[in-house]
Amino acid sequence: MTPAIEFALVAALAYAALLFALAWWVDRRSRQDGGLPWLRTALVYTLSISIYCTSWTFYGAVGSAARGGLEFATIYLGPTLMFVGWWLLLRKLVRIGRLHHITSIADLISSRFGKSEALGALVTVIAVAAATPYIALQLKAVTTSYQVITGASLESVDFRAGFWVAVGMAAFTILFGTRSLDVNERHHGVVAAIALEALVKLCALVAVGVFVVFALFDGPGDLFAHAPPGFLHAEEVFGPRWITLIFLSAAAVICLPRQFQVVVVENENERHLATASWLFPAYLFLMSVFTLPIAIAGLTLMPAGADPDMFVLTLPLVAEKEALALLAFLGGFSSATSMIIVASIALSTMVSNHIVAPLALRLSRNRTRTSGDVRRLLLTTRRIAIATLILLGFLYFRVSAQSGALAAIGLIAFVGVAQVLPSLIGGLFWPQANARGAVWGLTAGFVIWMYALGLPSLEDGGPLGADILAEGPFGLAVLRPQALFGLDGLDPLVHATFWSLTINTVLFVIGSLTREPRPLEWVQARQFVDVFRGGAAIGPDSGRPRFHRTATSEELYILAQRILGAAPAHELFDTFARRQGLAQGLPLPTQELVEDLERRLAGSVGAASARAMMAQVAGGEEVSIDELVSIADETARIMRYSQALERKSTELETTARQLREANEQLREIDRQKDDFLGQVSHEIRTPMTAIRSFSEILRSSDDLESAQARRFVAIIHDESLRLTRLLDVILDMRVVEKGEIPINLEPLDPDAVLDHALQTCEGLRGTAPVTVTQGARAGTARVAADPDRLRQVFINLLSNAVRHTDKDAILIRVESRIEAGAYEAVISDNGPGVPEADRERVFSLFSATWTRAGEKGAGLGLAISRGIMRRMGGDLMLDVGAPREEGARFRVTLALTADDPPP
Amino acid sequence: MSPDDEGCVTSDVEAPEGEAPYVESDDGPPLAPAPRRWRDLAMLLPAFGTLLWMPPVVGLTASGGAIWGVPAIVVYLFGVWALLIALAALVAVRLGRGRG
Amino acid sequence: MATRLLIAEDEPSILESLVFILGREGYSIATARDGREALECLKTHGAPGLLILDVMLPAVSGFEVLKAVRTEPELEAVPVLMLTAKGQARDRQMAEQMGANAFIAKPFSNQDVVQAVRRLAAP
Repeated sequence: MTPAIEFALVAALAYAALLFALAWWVDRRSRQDGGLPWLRTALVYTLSISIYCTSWTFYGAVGSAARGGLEFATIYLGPTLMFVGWWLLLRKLVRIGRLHHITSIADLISSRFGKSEALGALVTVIAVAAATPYIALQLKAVTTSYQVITGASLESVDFRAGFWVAVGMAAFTILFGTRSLDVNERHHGVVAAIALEALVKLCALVAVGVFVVFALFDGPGDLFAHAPPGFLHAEEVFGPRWITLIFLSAAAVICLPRQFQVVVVENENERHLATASWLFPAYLFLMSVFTLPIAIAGLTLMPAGADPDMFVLTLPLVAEKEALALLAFLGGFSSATSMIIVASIALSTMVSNHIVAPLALRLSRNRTRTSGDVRRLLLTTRRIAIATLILLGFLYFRVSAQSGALAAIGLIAFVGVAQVLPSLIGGLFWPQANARGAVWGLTAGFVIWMYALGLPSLEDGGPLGADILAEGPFGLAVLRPQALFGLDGLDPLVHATFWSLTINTVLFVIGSLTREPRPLEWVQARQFVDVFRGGAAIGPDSGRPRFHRTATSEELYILAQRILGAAPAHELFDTFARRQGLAQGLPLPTQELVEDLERRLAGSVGAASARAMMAQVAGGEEVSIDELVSIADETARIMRYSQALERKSTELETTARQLREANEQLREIDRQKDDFLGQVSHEIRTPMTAIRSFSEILRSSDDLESAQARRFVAIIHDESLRLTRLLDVILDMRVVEKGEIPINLEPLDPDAVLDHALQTCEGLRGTAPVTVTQGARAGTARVAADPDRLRQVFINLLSNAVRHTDKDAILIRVESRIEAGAYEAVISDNGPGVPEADRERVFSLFSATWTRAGEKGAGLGLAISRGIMRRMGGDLMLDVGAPREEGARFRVTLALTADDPPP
Repeated sequence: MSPDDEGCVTSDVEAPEGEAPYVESDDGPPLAPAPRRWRDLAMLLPAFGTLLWMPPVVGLTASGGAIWGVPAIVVYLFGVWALLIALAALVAVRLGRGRG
Repeated sequence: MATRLLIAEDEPSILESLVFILGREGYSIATARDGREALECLKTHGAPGLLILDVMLPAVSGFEVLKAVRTEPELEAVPVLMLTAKGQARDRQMAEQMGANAFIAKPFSNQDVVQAVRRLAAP
């Protein structure tokens, strides 16, 4: 018996006592003014993350290296990649965790998918299933290492060491890990102890490593020269298992409940994450750099059959370096205990918040509520959960210690917690991802993990039995646990990882795509996915849509008291009131207050329970369609923005051009309107002038001859009639404009109407003699038309021809014919014709050409004429083919009617 | 209406809320947005590491010789590791600069 | 000898009323039914004591006649009274710029016309 043997127990007890004392002292100090600043540094944050290195890696990595060469490194390479890539995933996780007071990975998943209670419970179950054997593994490591250092035979397992370690850790965790219900309030005592343990295990491993390389061997060159042939397994190690292990360890470093606890929940400052992004990989580097040397030394120096998992301890012992062996023992002890402490805190939080709290809420619905009752219930639950979890771990250890099955537990747990990964990644980056997808994926992944990996790892397949393991259930070979769907010949770990995560992901995607996200899912999705785009901006000015919930301040205060306890609730509401500018009393129950309070409570009981409790007093969240529209997802908005930018220049250009054109048209119409009004004014003022003038003459002159007076009165009468006609025309225009001109169709011979119009126009006086040439005539055509309107049209065209001709001799040619089932009359003149640009304009109502300046009588405009012709089923056109020099040529068409002309 | 009225065209394009990497913090002043190239490096770093540590690249030195007696593959694995740590430290310093 | 007026007006009834009221005042009156006729009349009969011009005359407009009058040295000094039925400020402005001495909008009061004519040309 070496001195170390007696000393080991004392050292372990003293070390444990040191941890208790440190935690107690730190806890006390941190509650005093200022606390302990060094606890809030990036270094301590990084050291607490190092609980990733459990006794499984402290001892087991060397064992793994001894058996599989380089493969051990994968367990460290994955986390290294995850941390150097912090900007992609961890940063987002930490930001979300801080903003939403996330308490655990179960809470994160539950909160993201609409604060679902079911998801919280599901993730908790997976985590507990994966972690309990993991705790057992730690207890086994402590027990074995104690047996090794005390020189006890390893033939039988001495459970006493494991038991007392379990009891001690449970006590420590309950004492220092459940002081506060709010998970975001760090347990400083625990943090200090973990940091110390992290340093101890690093120092221990480095010390053993340096001793091995430079004391037992003559430097690395000498050491590797002694390596057994093929030791590194370099030729075959870089296969599917290599990739799978790196992937799994990368996933585990965020999905393991204890890792999520230290990385996300306990993060106080994002800068710490930036530091940890290289400092934690550096820690891992140091932890693993001596793994190969220790393994080589063990394989070279230790007798055959020595347990490679204990080389870290046995090498110093064999070399009779008791102090170093003791340090190694304490390093292993630290690795095991720190893992147990943090894992049990994280798991107890999940159990209390996601399993006990929802149940208690349902059961206590009608009970009286007292101040702090929820707080007491949950703290008690956590304490019981911690004790239970560690006890479960011990029992598991006790049951399976002899089977050697524990060795594989570390990686099996990794695969288990990795099932959360699809929901986690999807939830962080895919807004459409919803609770259905998460439930489907997690459930399937969990089941396949248990079936293909968890149960087969037990002795004889555990409850499955060796038969099923070998031949599949009911002899179905397709369903053999380790060769699912015929995928045979793979490493069981790779096989289980592949199927569980593939089916998990596929179902997650299918589930998410087959249902629209519910309103609350939408809101949470947006806040999570767009956390860096202001999606999670929380505060009165965030412009975020709010749920409309109503509660009195008293109800909210009572709720806060139940969860936080009387004094903290009082303090919190005082803060709220001050923020609202109130000097005393309770704050106003605004939406901000309700939301802020719910987030605070979520930090204690988890988002789902906080929501459920808030719903009891304030009602559930109602989201209106408007609000949903306003939460239109940020990504879409950004995309719209960039597209809009691209379009912007062309769009502006087009708009400007359209505006210019519209302006031009408006100005033109305005000008035409002015012209038109000028014309109307002129047409009205002219007869008015005569009427006024002659009536003034009649009124003021007593000496008029009666003949002269009668003549003047006759002029007045004539001019009044003219005025009336003029007003009729203007009204006609209105009527035509509205399509209301009265048209009385009757069968007639259009040529007869044309002749009549020609007769009427014989009296037209032009500035030059008018000659009307009669061309060929249709003879007997039969159309349906209004004779008066048709005549008006012909007269209008004839008088236009007269008025618009500036030649010395006005030549008007009139002809008609029957063409393609229609009657067609053409009236042409030898005037200046119509300029190309005016061809359509002459037909518009406001066209200045509808009447010529100074011409007598308003007449009907071409617009009215065309309107009339179209109403009669015909048309009036300006002949386009006619050369301008030959003057204007108007064409009147009318469809022929079937019936014969009357005899 | 005059041609100048074209100026009244309003645009409904909103300005985007740019990503502000480090704004929300109770215990530090807001950060200026990190320089683009450092953010890009931060995102490329894990891809870089994955490429170097995954087959087939990682297997290139598997059968190589030794450097000062240490197998090349071991030197390679730990060398890449050290390189990643150094780059990550550089990125962390750059991205964390001006904060606090 | 009575002052001679030339009235260019295309509307017969208005022309008749003008001839009546101004003839009663003792003016000797010549008439033209459009711008061209007015210009011919000015050419053949020389400068009248006053020219009364309707703005909207067929063939040659009142403004064109006015322009011709103002550019002809012999006629330069002839006072011109313009009548318009459009009654727009634009016409009045244009008439003033082109050198019309008076401007009356239709429908006018006989009194206004007589006064304006008296002011510009004694009977």
